[in-house]
Amino acid sequence: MYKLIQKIDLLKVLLRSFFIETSWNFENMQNIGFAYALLPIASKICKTKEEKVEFIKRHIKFFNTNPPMAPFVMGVVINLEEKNAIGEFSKDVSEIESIKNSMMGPLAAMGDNVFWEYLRPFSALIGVSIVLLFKNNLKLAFLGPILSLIIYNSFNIFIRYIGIIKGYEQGISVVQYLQNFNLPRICERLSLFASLILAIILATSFQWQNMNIFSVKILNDVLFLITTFLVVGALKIKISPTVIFYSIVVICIVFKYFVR
Amino acid sequence: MLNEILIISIIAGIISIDVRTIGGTMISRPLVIAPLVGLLLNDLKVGFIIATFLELIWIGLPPIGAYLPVETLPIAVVSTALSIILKNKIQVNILNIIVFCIIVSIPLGFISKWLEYHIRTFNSYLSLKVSKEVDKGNINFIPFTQYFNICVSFLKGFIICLLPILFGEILLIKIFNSLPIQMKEGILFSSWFIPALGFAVVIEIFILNKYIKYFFISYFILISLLCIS
Repeated sequence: MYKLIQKIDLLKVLLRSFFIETSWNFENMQNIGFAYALLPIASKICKTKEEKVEFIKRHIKFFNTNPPMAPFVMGVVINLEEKNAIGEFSKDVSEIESIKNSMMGPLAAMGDNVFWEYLRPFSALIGVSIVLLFKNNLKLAFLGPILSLIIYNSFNIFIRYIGIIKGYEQGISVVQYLQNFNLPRICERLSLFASLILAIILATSFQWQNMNIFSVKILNDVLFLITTFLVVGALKIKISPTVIFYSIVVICIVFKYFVR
Repeated sequence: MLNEILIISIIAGIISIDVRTIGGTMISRPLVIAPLVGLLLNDLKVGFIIATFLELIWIGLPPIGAYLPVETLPIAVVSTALSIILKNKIQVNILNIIVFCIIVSIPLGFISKWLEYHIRTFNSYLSLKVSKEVDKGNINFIPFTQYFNICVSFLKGFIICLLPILFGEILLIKIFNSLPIQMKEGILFSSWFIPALGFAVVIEIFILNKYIKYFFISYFILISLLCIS
C-alpha cells in the first residue's frame, strides 16, 4: 500500500472521476470515463508503454454504475493493479476485471437509491422552501440555492473521497465498510425531516402573490391540499409530470371560459 | 440586450456541461440557474418564482441506467430570460407572463433530450473507435474523446438557449397579444395551482409511507395556529 502510488495520485483520480459520464454511450456506457480516470495511475505503475496499453485495454470495457459511487470501484481496482505490478497479486489478471464487474451492480443500486431518490429531491426541497420562506427579502432567498448546493455536494464529495481512499486502502472489503454506514437509515431520517418541512411550507407560504380564490383563508388552504393530493394520485398511476402540468393549465382555461 | 443574451447563453452552455459531464453537482438545476439568469437581467423576483415553479416538477425522474430525463436547464434559462424581456413589453400580471413562458419553453427540454440521445448514439461509434485506437497503442485518444464531448455539451447548451431567446421575443409578443382574454385569465389562474405539482412530486417520493401521519399532524396544527392568530 502506497508503494507505487502517492495520495496525490488518488486525488487526481478523484478529480477525474467527476468526468465519468462525459463520453457516456449506449454500448459500453461509462467505459471511456473510467479509463480516463485511471490514466494517471497507468503512467505511475506501468514502466513500459506496452504495459500501459495492456492496463488501459483491461479497463476500457463495459462499465456502468452510479457516478458518485464509481470511486469505490476505482479505489479497489487501483489497489489490485498495484499489487499486480509489484507481484503480490497471486491470481490471474483477469480476476481484476471480474471483481470490478461484481462491484458495480450493488454499488449502482445503493447509489441510485441514496443520491437520486433521496438526497437530490431532499436538497431541492430545502432550497425551494427557503426561497419561499424568504420571498419578501430576495437577498436572503439566495440562501436557498446555496444551502441546497452545499447539502448535496458536501455529501457527494465526501462519498467520492471516502470511496477512493478507503477503496484503495481496504481493497475489496470496502463493501463491508460501506454497509456499516447504514445509508438506508439516513434516508429514513431525511423522509421524516422532509415531511415536516413540507407541512410548514404548505401551511404558511406557498404563493408568490396574494391571489385568493375564496375569501376565507382556510378554504384556500383546503383547496390547495386537495389539488396536491389529486396530483399525487395522478403521479401514482404513472402520468408524467409534464402531462399533469399542461392538464392543469388546460383545466384552468376551460374553467375560465365557463365561470367569468 | 444582445450582449446580455449572449452572456446568458454562454453561461448556460458552461453549466450544461454539468448536466451529464460532471455527474450532476446540481448547478444545472432550475433552483440555481433561474436566479442566476434573473441576477444577470436585473430581475431577481422572476428568477426565484421560476426556480420554485420548475425545480420540483421533474425531480422524481432520475437518470438511472440508459433512461434520459427531461432536461430542465433550457426550460429554466429560456423561460426566465423571456419572461424578463417580455415583462417590459406587455403590461399584465407578471405571473401571467411567467406561466405563459414556461408553457412555451417546456418543449425545449424534450428537444434537448432528443439531441442528447443522438449524441450518446454517436458516442457508441466513438467508443468502438477508442477501443481500436487503444489496441494500436494510441492512449491519448481517450482524453481527446473526453474533451470533444465537453465541447459538444457546451455547444448543445449554448445553441438551445441562444436561438429561442433571440427569436422568441417578437413571436411570443404576437402570440400573447392575440390570445383571447379567457385564455390569459386561465393562464394566470393556473399559476395558483402549479406549485401543487412540485409539492405532489415530493410527497410521492418521500412521504407516501409511514411518515404521512407526521405530515398531516404538523400541517393541521400549523393551520389551526394560523387561523387563531
